[in-house]
Amino acid sequence: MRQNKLYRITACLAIMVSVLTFSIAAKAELYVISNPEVKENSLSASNIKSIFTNKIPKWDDGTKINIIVLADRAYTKDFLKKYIHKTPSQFKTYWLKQVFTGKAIMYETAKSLDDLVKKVSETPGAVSFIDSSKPLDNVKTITIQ
Amino acid sequence: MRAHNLSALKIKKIKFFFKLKKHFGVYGSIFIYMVAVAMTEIDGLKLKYFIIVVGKIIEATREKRMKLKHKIGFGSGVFLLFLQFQSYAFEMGTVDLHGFVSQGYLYSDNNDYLADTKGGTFDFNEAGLNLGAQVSDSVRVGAQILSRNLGEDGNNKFVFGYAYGDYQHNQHLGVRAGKIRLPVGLYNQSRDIDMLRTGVFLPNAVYHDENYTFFSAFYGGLFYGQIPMGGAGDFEYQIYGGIPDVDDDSYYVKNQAAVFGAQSKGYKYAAEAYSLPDLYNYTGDDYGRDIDIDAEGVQTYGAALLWNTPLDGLRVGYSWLYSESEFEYSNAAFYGPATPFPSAGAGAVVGTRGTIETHNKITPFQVLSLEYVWDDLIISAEYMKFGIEFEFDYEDESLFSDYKFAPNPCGFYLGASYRFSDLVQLGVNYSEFYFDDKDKDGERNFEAYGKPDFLGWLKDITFSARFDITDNWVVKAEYHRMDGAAWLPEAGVYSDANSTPNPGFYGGNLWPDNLKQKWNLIALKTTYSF
Repeated sequence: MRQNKLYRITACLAIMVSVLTFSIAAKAELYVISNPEVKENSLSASNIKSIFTNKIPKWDDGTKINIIVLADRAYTKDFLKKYIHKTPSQFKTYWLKQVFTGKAIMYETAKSLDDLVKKVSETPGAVSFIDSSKPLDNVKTITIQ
Repeated sequence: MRAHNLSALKIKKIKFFFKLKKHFGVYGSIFIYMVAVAMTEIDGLKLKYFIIVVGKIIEATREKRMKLKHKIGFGSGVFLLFLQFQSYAFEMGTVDLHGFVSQGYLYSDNNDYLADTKGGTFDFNEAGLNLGAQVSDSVRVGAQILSRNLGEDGNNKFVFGYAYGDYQHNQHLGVRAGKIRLPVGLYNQSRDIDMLRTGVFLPNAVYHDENYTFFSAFYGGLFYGQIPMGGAGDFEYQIYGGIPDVDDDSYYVKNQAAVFGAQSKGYKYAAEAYSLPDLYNYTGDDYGRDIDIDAEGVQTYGAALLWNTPLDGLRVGYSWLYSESEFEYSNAAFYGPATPFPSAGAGAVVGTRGTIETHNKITPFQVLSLEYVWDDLIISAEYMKFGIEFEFDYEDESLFSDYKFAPNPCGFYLGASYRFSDLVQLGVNYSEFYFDDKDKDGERNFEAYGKPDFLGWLKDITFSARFDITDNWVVKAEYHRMDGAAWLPEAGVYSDANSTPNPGFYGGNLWPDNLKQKWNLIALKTTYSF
């Protein structure tokens, strides 16, 4: 009887672990997206950090890099932590410092995913990042090396 | 018809400029005028609409701003203006417009700090309007119109915080020319912008507000860039040179002027108190009453280097600055016992009147910086070493020959802040500042001349709380426990020169009564930005 209970508990745990694993696997992935005209197909993690912290100003063809960020912090948190090593609040403060010391023009914000896609597809040199379950249409997905 | 329209517009422009000048002063109006012109050229926005909008804002808010200015301080008046600006800010296309306005409150018990803080003061605010425009893929222009007030410093005069053109060739090389904030330490370039830090004040040991004028900005050029170093992280540099922007209306200059001025009020008294011979025929208050001040920058150059180490979040910096400036105080008077510094000779009696020139050299100012960011925790530490040479030239040298003093102040701080939620961030900071690194206990420079030894140091434990009420609105509260009084202004700007004879900054025997070793400071501040 006791053994039976142990089996049940083990089975429950196994189901929970597999559900958890599945949900992690099915969780949205982080993509860097750009305007389709941007020539770069892939970027290193360090280049991504430099781009989103205003250190690299232009694409290789000389076009100005225009950063666009989704306003909802819940969607930017994971990317910022993984690639920029900042929390959303630190990222904003970093940019405000760039702006208020005259070192940069503030990145553009998008109100929704649709707005983001629209802006990235229409703005020359635009780059952004998304937390999405699939790549998006009308924008270019850049491979992260 | 077209010509007629243009000339009408020209007249409108001139009227508009003078209207602005009335409210914002010459620099402020030039700036706003520039915004208008930039927008017309870059964005194709009709200048006349801009004129109408700004004109309406100025008119609509004038009464409110004026009323509030008298009631609760300048900051609130500008706040109203900004609130109304905000609704227009997003219509300006490629011209990036941002602004902030801060209002603070300071209260201290035993010693005044930077303003008349004993008993509390609202005399502490900043406001800034930032404009940036990307002219081409490589060229950007940016300017900030800044108004700040901290006691006698700034007095809400509108100035350019910075105004420059920027050409960025690539990641490795860019150049800026114009008026540029001095890159000293990790935070000097952003020191006027309250919402970028946890605390109200940056640590005094490195970011000395008494000497703000020497470290604010310069006119000249700056090269900058980033050099990736593979596995060793990357390296950022800023190298610059030009003329420092020292300001007549600054705390340091006014403090010195107050010393030279206050002395004349106490002239007769001092002669009696110290049993001095009738060295001058005291002729009244002509000297020292209306001192003309002329502060001019001579040259500055330096470098700021920053290494973003391979350890995520850890950066190490070093900055080095040399600066030279000259202040001229006409119609001054300065009299009293000798300075506390050995170069003047102990017990000597000195005095002079007429024009006093000071040649100030910072030789150099060095800061070693370290910052580590790990998730919501920020740890920072900086060490500062400061070489100064102040040389005084007197028109009348009969009693007081030209002299020079050159202490070597130094200081450090260690601080940490943690963001607990989107709303709350707390910080703690410990700093020590010494007037002279060779005399940390104040014995040689002060005690030996009958002054308290605590004039040789200032140790500060600070607890800060920051509340981000919304994305645009921040409220802060801060408590400082202070030990020491190095470089405090008691005998200068805030002394009551009209009623009490005051021996002044270099004076001596009245100091112990004025300053206390242990004291407390509370700072509150709120900032709205867009």
